[in-house]
Amino acid sequence: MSSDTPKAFAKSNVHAADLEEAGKPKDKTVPPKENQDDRQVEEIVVEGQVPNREAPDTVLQMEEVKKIPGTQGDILKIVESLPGVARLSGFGSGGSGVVIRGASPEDSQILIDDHPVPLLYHFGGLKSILNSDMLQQIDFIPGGFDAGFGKAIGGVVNVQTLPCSHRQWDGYVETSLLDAGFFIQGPIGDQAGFFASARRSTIDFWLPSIIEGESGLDMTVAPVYYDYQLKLEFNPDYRNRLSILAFGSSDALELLSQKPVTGDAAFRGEFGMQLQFNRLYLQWLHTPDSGDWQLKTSLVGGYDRGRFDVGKFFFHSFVPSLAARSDLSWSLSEILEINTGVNLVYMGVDLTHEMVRPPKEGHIPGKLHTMEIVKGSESQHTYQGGLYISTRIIPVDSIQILAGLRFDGYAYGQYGDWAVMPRLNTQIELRPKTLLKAGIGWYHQAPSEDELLESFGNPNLSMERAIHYTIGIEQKMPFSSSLEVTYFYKTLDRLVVPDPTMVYRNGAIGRVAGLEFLARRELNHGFFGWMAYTLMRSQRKDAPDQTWRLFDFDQTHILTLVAGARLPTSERMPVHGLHSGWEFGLRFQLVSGNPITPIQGGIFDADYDTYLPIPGPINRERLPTYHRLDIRVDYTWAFTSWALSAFVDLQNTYNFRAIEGIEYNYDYTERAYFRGLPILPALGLRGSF
Amino acid sequence: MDKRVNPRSRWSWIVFIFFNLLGSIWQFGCDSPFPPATLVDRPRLLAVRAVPPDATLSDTVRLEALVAFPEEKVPKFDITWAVCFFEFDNAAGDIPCPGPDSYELGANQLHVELPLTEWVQWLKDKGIDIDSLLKQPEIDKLPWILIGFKLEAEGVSLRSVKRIKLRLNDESPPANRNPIISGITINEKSPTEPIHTIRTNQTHNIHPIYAEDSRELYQPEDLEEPRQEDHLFSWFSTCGSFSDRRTIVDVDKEGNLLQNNRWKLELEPSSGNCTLWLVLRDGRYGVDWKTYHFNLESS
Repeated sequence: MSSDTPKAFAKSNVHAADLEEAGKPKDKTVPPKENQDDRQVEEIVVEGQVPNREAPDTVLQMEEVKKIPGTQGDILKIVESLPGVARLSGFGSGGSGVVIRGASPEDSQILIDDHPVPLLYHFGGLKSILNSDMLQQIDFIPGGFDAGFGKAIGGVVNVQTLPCSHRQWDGYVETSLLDAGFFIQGPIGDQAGFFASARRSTIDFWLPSIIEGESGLDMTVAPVYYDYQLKLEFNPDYRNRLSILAFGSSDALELLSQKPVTGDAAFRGEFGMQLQFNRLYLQWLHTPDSGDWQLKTSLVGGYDRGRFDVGKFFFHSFVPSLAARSDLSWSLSEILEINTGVNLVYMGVDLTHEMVRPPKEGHIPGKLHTMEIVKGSESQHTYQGGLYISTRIIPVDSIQILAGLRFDGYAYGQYGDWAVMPRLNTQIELRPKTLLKAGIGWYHQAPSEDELLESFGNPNLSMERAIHYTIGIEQKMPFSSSLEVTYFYKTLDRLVVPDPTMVYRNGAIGRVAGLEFLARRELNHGFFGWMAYTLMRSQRKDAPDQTWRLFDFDQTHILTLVAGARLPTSERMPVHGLHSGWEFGLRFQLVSGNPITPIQGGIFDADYDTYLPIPGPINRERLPTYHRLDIRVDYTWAFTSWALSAFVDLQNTYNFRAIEGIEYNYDYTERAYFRGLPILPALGLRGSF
Repeated sequence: MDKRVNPRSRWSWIVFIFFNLLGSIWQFGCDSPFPPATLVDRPRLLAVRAVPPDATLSDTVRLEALVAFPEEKVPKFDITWAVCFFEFDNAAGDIPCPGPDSYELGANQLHVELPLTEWVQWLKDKGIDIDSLLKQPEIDKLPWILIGFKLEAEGVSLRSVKRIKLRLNDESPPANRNPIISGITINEKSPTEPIHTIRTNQTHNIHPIYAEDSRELYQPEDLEEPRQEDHLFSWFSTCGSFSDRRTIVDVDKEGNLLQNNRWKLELEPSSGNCTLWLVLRDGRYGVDWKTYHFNLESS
């Protein structure tokens, strides 16, 4: 993998068939790739069309990856199989984020159709809030991203939704122990299409009996989640595509613990959580006849509502938001292209709270009863803005230069900050099929929302900063395969850390260095796969007088092997595009254990009948190496008008009980490994039409 | 568990706290690789009491430590008591009390007298202005001092901290008093002998009894209405295990008393001795305890 230097060609998300239907001249298009396996998602190269915003390092087609074993098609689980991405605990990260090239999860942007969402998983990691079948591709840019992306000092994962089909109906209904739902897509007349999907949990029908039986808890509201997605798309002609995308998610859970959970009687009673967000996207993509420019504009509105109640403590928030984004790609000549854009975001913040502050990276939280309870309310308006321009210069056929400049700023009440960030990427074709890539860029991001709250943090903070340096080489190989080696180095500064007097300050620095190796074969002739290896070191220094320490997710070695094969036993059925046959998938991971801070004992807090841990040097120890093998086998019976698929997904095939952490006894004098899940088989059936 | 957090998202960090707390709850129902916290299988410090729990700067406070020794032979030990003035926000256990800046009380005993006037004089002698410390404008509630306790014996090191609220003047809220345990009943019978007999291979229902007038009404700083103290019982013994590590004075929705507990002695030997300690805390740093000794007898 390398910095996201320009690709030699553009990608369009428009179906060839749709273009034909919309009246676009056939000679403007290149036929789909030979032996293209995907029936729904076809990545088409359109001659003469200008590039979209900077091409990502890795494009994953959902048809390629959603049957990777062990991932259940979930977005972040798939991204965790890419080079430079650290493995999070098997118990999730608290709801969102991936650790990309040694950056904190909060330092990377996870976008859906170019706009961020507040939550990616139901219940902190149980299941993605998006149905994978509504996704077209995941653009993964681990670093050195161009000026089109902002507000992140780590990497970017941009999830793109599927264009609506204008030709055929497709859909399914499914149910499992987790949830039940449906997906349907189809045409509306000749020029429009839609898809719709919805899921509701089924876990609430069986979990309460287990929870109450095991722990004596009273589950007043069992865990219930739902999500929905609806997209309508209208192509009045081949120049314009209009779409409306609506999606949302809701999680709710309430428990009643009448017995004290800790030595503090305040931590008993109702434990409730309700999270809800809804988004409505209006999107317009315009490409003129000449094909030398393209305009992509979107307007997004919605709201987030959160309620947390933990005994007598609570955090309630309501955040309406409105965002607009517009990107223009303009090919001025054979040697010069310009990409420019603007994005604006408004958020209203209305919250009341009586809650402790969250622990930060590298810090061991104290017991809850020793932490300051911050009580208050806040009603504030926040504004964010971004503006960028980048130029792609091709002075000779073998050299491309992408130079960009981005402005990002935010205003929070009377506070705010801004930054200007230059970025430069180059790509040199050393010889046919061999590319040398290099890049350097400056990146800034605003502190997290809780850090900026006037009643909770310090609104006077500045933006955090990183400088990315990357250099790599890519070698195209026969049989749709390629090899890439990339070295990356990052410096971080102005990182926000807790401060005893200012609550938070911009005081920490960091450095990350690594080497990535990727051997990949794209989906072709029924086979795809990759082997990714990363050698990395990520460190932080919280204050000038402190020594360098390991980052929470520093993982020295990350090796991932993914492979998939399709063995059809019949011709593809024209109605639904499926064929009978076998599919096999395999995923293997070998990862260094996460650093941990050892607890060296405890002091008895006599007022609360509990022990306060005495932490040792931060992240001085490391958990044992993690490894796991997942295998999946599918078989499809394709009939004329419908198809039935059955699968076995065997997670952790050889039953290695990975060590996910360390647990201590009541006074921190004894410790034991906290182990992950055993072998986990999953069986499923799906009917498609 | 590996406790990591992503605070960039508006919700993820609080989801993290929520689920970690749920994890703590869930542990009640799961097998632990460690002996239960209620089992006293080595010297343990179970409680520290201050009499009175709230004090003015002219009071003398008596400090007492409840140290449990499972063996009949008590080892020789060294004890240090100290007074500290310590910021206690998000504190981990590396609290320097006793420490280089603490005021040490010179008694190698499980109980000691603390004349606060002497501590104030010691502060003044060191040039520390106690009045400004106590009357900082941001302190809108009673300040407190920290009592540090350290016991060291061969192979044993016990450390503890305890808070004492300081009452500044007569306008301060009424002083807290320590709660009072009146006794217990085991299987609805009150033990009457100094050493009682209890049957093994059984689970016993235990009901703690407290002096109801020691459960005081008080005015919390963040509430308009006064409320009654939360009386929390902690259970310890040298044998068996308890259904709950802690119980609380309250009634569940079925009308059951939540302060009751069940003492499981199914796997104990058919003879020998056993000690039970019951500690009561009032949530405002008030403490009381009782100790019961038993002869085990096979049922």
